[in-house]
Amino acid sequence: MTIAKKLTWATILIALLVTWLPCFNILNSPIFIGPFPQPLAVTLLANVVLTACVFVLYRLYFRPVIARERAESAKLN
Amino acid sequence: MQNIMTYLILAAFLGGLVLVSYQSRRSGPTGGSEAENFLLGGRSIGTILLLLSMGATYFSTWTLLGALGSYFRSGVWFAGFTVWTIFHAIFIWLFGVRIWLAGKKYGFVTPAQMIEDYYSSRRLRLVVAIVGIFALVPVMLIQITGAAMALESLTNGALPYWAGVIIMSAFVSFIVLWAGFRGTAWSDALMGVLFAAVMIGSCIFVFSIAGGTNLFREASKVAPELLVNRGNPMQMLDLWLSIGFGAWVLPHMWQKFYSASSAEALGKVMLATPFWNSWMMAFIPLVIGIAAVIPGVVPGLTTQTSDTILPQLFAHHTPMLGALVVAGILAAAISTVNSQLLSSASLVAYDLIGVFHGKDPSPHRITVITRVVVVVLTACLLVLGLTSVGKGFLVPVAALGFGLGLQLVPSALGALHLRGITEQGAFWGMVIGTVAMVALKLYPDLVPLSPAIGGLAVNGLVTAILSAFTPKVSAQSYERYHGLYREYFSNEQSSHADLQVRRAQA
Repeated sequence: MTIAKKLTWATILIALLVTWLPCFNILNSPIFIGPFPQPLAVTLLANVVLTACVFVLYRLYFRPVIARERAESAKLN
Repeated sequence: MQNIMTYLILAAFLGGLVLVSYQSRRSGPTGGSEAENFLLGGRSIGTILLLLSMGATYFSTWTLLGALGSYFRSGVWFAGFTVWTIFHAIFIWLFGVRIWLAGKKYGFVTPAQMIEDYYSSRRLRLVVAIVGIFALVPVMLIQITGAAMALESLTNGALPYWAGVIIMSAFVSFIVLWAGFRGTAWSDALMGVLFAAVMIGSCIFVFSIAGGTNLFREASKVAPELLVNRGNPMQMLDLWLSIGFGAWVLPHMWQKFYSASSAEALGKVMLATPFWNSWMMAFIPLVIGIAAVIPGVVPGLTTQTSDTILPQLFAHHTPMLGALVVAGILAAAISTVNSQLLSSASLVAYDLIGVFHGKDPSPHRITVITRVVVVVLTACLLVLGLTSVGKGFLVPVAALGFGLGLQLVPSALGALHLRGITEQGAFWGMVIGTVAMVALKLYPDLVPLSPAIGGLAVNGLVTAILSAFTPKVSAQSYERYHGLYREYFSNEQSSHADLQVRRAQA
């Protein structure tokens, strides 16, 4: 596994763990961060990171497969 | 007058659905076998259709009704819903693309066929099919009962619950029998767009009447406890595992992966999934559900009626538009139950009748059996929907089905990733895990674990222990699956075709 892949999976794992913190009363104060209550703001921020990670995963894993798929169909045609 | 308007809009909606199904039926694929075309759309479903169909199938009445009620009752605690729906994108890479590849390569139609082929085990195929069908029944049930509740709520009882159950059952059965998978996928797409429009429209409306960007501050004045996480991580883990993680393994979602036209289609669906699933379908109910606690947004709302927030909202503020909301709810329900009905019927036809038949029946016979089973299953759902079981809270009932679906995970992981899982481990793990789940459902005080978590833990433990001491899957199976994945998904520059040639020469 390349460093980029390891970093991406580590980021996904950390973002996932962050979304669970309010369940254990961490980052779960009755205060507001912008328009959102703190636990929700934390979860949404982690969601932004996770969304970005999906794009990185696509680039790291799907792109080579799709390129190969196209090359094969070009060879067949 | 209002009820007449409601009936007219609903009739137009159902008519539009029939039209779309008719068009898709006419333009359907002709290349594959009759059964493959009927059950998997000829494995030719492209990106847009697959995205809308998968989204519409996953998001059902518990999104438009149950999720809103859950946010109303549990507040930001339920925001885990917005997280696991992003993971659905990641699951497409982890599991979906492998399922698609094996399905395409070896011609599988049902998940149980793949499991049987990998483990060389007919008894495992039988158990996977039975667990799969029983997992889908509660999820199908809430679609029908949820839509019937919404119809009753919006028409102020003019269309009673029982009539809604009958209408829903009859219509879903008709669409599935008539149009098959492709018609189902196209009607899913239409309905996905419709209920997304209803969600976005409702969110904008609620946002405007509930204080705009101050919405959460307004809600905190009335119910501050909803704006902090209430804890209870075990309950969240239960939802995460059953509704979140368990979604990909349910037979109807598994068959969506089989139906993809290419890895590229799946990859693009993965890219769009966080936006469609999380940022729209999971986040919007959060806004509406929490806004509903603010006085004046949904007058008269109580915990008991919180699963019908949306119909009540429109019945109070804009009764004329309420029919559109119910059309959206029906769309959500039909788009989920039609795929599940078709999938369950294919499991019965291929994996139960097929197994007892001695060999796989002909494609034509399979199609005929599937149609008969669709009618029988619909009749069962109709009867269940009219009992008190069908009228429970939507999310807990859905979680029961998804929880049972989790029992399929260890055996599926063997064929997809975990090479060490053996036939004995997968079989006994699933059997004993399912028994444990039922026991925990009947006797919840046995151990402090929910049925879904307890059942999965027992299943995983039995699978792991037995797999350590029983014979491994054959080298041939290992090569047919894990060898295939290794070759197809490796990042080497040589093409898959070249590797195949080298392998054949060797």
